[in-house]
Amino acid sequence: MLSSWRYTRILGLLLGLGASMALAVGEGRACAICFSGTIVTPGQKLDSADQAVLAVAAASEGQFHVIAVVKGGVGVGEVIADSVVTPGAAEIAMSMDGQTATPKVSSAAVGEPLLLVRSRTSETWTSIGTIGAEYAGWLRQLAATKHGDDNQPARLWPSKVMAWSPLTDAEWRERLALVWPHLEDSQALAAEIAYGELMRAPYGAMRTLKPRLEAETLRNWIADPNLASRRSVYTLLLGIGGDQNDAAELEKLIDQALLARDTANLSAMLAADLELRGPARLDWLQAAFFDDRQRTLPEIDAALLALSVHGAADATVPRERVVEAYRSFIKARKPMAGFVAMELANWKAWDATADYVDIIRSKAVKDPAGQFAILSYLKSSPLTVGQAALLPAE
Amino acid sequence: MRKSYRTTVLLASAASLLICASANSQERQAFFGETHVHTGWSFDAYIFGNTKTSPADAYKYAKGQTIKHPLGYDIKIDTPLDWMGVTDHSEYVGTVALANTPGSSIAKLPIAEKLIVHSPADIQRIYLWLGGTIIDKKPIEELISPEVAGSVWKQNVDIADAANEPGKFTAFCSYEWTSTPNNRNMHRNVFFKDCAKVPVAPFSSIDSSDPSDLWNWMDGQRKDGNELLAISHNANLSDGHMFPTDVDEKGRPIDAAWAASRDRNERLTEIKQIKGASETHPTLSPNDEFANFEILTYLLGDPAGRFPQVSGSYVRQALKDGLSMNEARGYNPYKPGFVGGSDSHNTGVPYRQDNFYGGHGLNDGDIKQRMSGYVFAGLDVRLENPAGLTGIWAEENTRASLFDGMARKETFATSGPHIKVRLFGGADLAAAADQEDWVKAAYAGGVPMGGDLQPLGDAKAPSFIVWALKDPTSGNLDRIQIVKGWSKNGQSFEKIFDVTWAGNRTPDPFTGVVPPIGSTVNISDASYTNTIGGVELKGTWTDPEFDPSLDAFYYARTLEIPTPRWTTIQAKELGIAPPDNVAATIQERAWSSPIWYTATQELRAATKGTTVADLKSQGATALDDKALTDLIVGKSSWVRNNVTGDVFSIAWTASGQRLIANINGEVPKPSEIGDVLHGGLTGQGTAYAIKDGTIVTTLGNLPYEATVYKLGDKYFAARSNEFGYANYEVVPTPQMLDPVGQQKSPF
Repeated sequence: MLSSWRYTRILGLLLGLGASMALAVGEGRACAICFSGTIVTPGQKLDSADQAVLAVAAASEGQFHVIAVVKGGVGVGEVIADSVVTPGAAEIAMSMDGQTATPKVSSAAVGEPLLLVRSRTSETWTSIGTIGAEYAGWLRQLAATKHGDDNQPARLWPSKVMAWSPLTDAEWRERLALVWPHLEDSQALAAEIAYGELMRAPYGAMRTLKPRLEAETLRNWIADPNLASRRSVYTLLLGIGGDQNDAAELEKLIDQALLARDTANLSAMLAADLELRGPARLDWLQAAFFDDRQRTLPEIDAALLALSVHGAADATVPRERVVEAYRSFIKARKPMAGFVAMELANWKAWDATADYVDIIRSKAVKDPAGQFAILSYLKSSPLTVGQAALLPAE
Repeated sequence: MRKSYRTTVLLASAASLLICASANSQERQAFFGETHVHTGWSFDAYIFGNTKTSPADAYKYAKGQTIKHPLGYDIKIDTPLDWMGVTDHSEYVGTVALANTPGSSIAKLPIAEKLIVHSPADIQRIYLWLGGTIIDKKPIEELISPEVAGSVWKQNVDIADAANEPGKFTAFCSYEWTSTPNNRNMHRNVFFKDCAKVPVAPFSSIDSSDPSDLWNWMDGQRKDGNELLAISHNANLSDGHMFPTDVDEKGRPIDAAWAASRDRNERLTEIKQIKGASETHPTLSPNDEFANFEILTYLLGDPAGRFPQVSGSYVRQALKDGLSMNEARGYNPYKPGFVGGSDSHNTGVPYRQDNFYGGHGLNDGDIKQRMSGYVFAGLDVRLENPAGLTGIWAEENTRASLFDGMARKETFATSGPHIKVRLFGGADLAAAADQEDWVKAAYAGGVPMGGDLQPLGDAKAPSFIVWALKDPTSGNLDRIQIVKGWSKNGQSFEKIFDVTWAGNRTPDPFTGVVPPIGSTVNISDASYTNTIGGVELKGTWTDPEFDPSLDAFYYARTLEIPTPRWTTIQAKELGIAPPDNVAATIQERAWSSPIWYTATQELRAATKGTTVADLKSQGATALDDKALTDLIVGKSSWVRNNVTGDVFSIAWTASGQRLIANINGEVPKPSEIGDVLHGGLTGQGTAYAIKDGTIVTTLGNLPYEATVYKLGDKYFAARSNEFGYANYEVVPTPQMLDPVGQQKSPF
């Protein structure tokens, strides 16, 4: 039986966490395998904008003519003075110490349409790049896939701002159906927009592309060295659209990666492997990554990421199986138990309550962030008090 | 070669050499503090998840109170600080945080409505809006108006005033000027002496991204009676632009006025912080076995297709270049003192290997992110390291006293622990070291760190006293070294001398190198013991190679014994092997600010070498491409460095590779001349090309050129980074190379 002081201590720790946290599930969340959240994609700029148009520069007149409206109350034919336009698109990124902007080479010529965006807060228009007028309809459809407002419930664990998505799963499904045909489009900006949206989409939404996926195209893209930076996303898609031959090939590649200690694409390959092989692969994954003491943390992290995207999608690998896998992870890797606490809490998967009470009591987790995550889980769990009381005293 | 000199002879100081020290200078104490920390008022910190803290929380943390990490857990400093300056980014500083603080003055303004955050999408929108205006250089007038920017700045000042406790804790008024042109870190922290005299609003990179404009603004402030100074930071991420030698950021030739402005305003430079050390780089200092310390090869924003230039990015090289510039041009822009800092964006700062919680909010705030190889903004966060720290020698813990200490550069930097360091230099200081009140004697007979040596009188060489006291909560001390740099005919050199060390180690009789102290680190257990090393080290040293005609600098570097790096400690906590992309152990350290020696014009003129101008005045002509091709391609040249006397052979292949194959009859080895050997030791060639009348090759990772001049039947060469001197001469193939004698002069 739990001694009274321990019982009091756990309760005290939980109360000390504060009462402001709220749980919510179902919000759009970028696939963690693909999107680091330190850059702003063209699609995010389009979503953030209140107005977006295609406009053509008339150099001799010092102004732009709107030739098509993507979103917002602007009329075709309206004139935008070039003094309020930033024509040179720049790759804006949040660095480790302030914002940076890497200029992009602009190939815009007079008469070539620019995609200009503006938010209600700004007096100026910003160019995202050049794109053909024939894409105006596609851009309108794309912008229209965001139906609602930006307000969604906060999550228990703070998430990276740039990785957060205002789209619901349904909106993502709609959007991905639009961008899929434009992956590797000959128009660079269209391709960039399409890839950027796919990259930050939740994995569950990616899975809805299955009927549209052409496995051979994906295989070619994965093999193309020019597309190496996009390999993780296309590997995930191959898991969704591939076949058993792809599963066999992936298994070989995973073995090679483990031998070489190469984790560059490991999480995507593991996720694809799980998609193709299903929950039957969980035992192998647990044995290979959680029980094998030779595994490095990047390798373990890759396995957790693969489980995470499947847990969020709750499809081929049911979430309850992912939760089971997480519990085996907690038992096998006690010092790392905090890694999955917040995700379990977000899923309201309270089966790990007893495990976590035990972890806290044994002081197996040294990292304060890990301790905090576990205590936050326990604070939210309706089973905590009962589980704590049932546990034997040390 | 290294030599150790322990002088114990007592000599009376020559009265004529005494420097007037202030009455109470000998009573200066070391006050430890922070020059560089961000709170939720910095917009990037806000993006990183630090949305709830203000500068007031930073001061609480510095004083020892517990605050929250952006992820929600408690953080607390190990050893409270004596002082701090919060340096939030001045660009739209505090506007988003305060617009979302009910009741704040900003929240009541109409513009605040546009800054209200209901969801992360709002942050994304505001980020694009604000960020875009900075990039476009079209600032939002309402946000930079006195009503907003001035209001935030006033609140910042009020918070500093509230935290300031004269005699107990000093809170400075300060900010960061955040210029990052083309991904190059040009950032400076600006510190004010008196918060009662600060301007209405700071000068930000929205006003200008050029450092010289910042200095002009600072000059204006000073003219108005407002004392202030700037601290450059992360030179290591500047892509070679922190310490230029030829042109400034506007492309204008660097001149005496630029140098004076820099020296007047930029009194200090940050030598170490979370994003790496800026002392030196292994390729710049190949014979410094301690140079490979927290090196970070990275550019902010991680731009594709680029990597940072080493030359111009490290402090020691800048000190050397400054000497060369003074010799060649008569001015030295690079005489900064040293500080350490954090650049934490968490409001709290991790200074210790065993308490490292990252510096960038949600991006490195939990152990999984830190240890799994997560790449944040292009950087594997395992390459981060705990914050640096600054010590100031000052009479009292007040703004005025500490600021004066910074202004006279009587500062030292540490890699995190509270190691205390002293350095004094003078004509005959060795005697002072043995006096009971040696500090008083040293102040009276010499200059402390940050100073300039006074005329040496009858002394043949300057002498120095070094002293260090360990942090009681950290590792013991291994040794104190003096790092010397000097310049001759535009060519700069460095040498490291072990001055005093713990234990009974004997320097190698041939090299002078003091053997490593060993290690008590148990890597699997992430532990160490203080069974080796010393608690306090003190020694004296007289420069054995002093040449009064050559400008020089000297700074002290103190090393701790090896201890586990934070990655080793956290690997142990996780039950995994330490990562193999970083060192498992480190040697914490401290750096004193330098002391400079400047030769008189008369002495310097006596050793002046040949310049390009000299050659031209004698009728020399520069070789064109064809003449250069005929001279070197497919051949081997023997060349003499007329500064050092070294004679070396260079093989120039027809395929565009060059190799230094022999120096004075020996296989080339790293030396104080730096990385000019280009792998000659191991037979690795370096590419060269002939273009526009020059031989173009690389030094480190920087292209440089050599121009060859013909004068009669002789050939001379001038390197582009030797400030107008023509130091090389093509010589005939030596008939005999005697490896025992006459190595320097085989002809």
